Amino acid sequence: MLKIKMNSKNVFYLFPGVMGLIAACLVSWLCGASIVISLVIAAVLIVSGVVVGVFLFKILQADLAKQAAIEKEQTEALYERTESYVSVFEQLFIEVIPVISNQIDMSKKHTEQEVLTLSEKFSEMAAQIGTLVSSQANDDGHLIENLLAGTEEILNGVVGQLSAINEAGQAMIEEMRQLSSQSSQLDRMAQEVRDVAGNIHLLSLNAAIEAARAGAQGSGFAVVASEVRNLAKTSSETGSRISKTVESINAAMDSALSTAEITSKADKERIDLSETYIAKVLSDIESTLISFKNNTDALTENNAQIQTDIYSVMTALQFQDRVSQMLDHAKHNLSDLSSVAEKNRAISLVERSSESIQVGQLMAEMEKRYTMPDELLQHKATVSGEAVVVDDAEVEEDDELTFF
Amino acid sequence: MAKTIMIVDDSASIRQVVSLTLEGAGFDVITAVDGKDALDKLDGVKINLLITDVNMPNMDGITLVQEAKKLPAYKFTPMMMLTTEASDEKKQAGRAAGAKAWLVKPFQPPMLLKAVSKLMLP
Repeated sequence: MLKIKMNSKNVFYLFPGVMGLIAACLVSWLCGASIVISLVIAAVLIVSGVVVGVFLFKILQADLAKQAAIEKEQTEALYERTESYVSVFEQLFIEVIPVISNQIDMSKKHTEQEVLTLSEKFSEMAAQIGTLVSSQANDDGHLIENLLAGTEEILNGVVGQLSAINEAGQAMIEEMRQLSSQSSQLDRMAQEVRDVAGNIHLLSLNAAIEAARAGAQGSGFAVVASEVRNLAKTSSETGSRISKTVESINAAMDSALSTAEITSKADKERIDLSETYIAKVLSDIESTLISFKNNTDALTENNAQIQTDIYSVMTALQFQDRVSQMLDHAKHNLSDLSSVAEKNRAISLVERSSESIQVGQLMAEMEKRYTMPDELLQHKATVSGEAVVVDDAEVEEDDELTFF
Repeated sequence: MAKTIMIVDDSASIRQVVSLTLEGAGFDVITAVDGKDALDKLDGVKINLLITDVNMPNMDGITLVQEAKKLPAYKFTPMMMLTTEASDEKKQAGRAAGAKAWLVKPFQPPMLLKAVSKLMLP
């Protein structure tokens, strides 16, 4: 069987030739021409058909060639565009990855620094609480009792000294009273002096009378009697002065005594008041110290709770290590991508194929890198397109610590 | 005399948290940043326990345990792994190297102290 291709050269030669033959047959049959004429017509028509066919074929070939040239041009342009796009894309990839890697490094460094500062501060705080609690525990409350007793002793000592001063004042008043009673004796003695002087005066008068009676022989005795009278007068005046002096001494002493009594009474009242104040101050100090002691006792009691909290914080602070490892893995994964891009960049686009990138192998290498179970789970879930569940409580309590 | 524990981890924060926990419990602590650093520091100094991370630069924890066990001074020193790794495969590698316990990070300080008291030789 002859297989005819629609665009083959044969069609262009055969089809117009056959058409010319059919047309010649029709013309010969319709016109009833002779065989010779018919053959001539047929030959002319066939030849002209073939000529037309050749002509059309040439036109077609020219068109096809033109179209092919356009297509080639377009393909080349597309190829160039794709190549430049891919190389720019690769460039971007290769340039961006180190930037991201540096960012990862920086964030790692920052979190590490912050966590170190945090745990340092935290340990300082914990140590301070510990010192407070242990000093309180060692003291066992004696410190407060001793402080109270000491304060009470000192303040009561002050009151005692004030009372002693007051008592000395009282004794002095008593002495003054005795002195006052002795001064009245002095007054009596002055009176007695005056009485004796009066009697001597009378005696001198009598002596003067007796001297006058004795006449000239008694003149000497009269002089003596006169002198005795003068002496009695002087004595009486002295007695009066003594009395007056004793009186003024008494007045001054009474005034001093009453002032001293008033002062002593006021001092007594002040000392009593001081004692009340001291008792108040002591009770205030005691209640403050007791409330302080209760607070520190509560702190001691809460020590266990504080310790648990400290442990929780210390556990939580280890997030930094996990984050740091995850960031490291992310960095390595990025670097894997970067090296794939670098490797393929050296190969020309024409020689590249989908086999140049081993996706499965790359992913498997990434999987090997993970050190935490949740990291691996997340990778697998992401690859399979499942919802990513981040669950920190992946590790069972029993799995946390294994003894071999 | 306080007992001495060596802690090997490339993470400064973990070294700090472990040191705080152990020092708080009255132990002396020596730190090293990786397996190589730890081997350099194991120069005959008396240690009662070695705690090491697994994944570290320069020398990993499992190699460290293997190498340390070859040194006569540390042949009988108890060693324990403290790591984020939790796979049975890795645990078996640790056990084969000579580790006596495996504690997964993040750890609770009482859990670490429990492991330490159990491993510590008198």
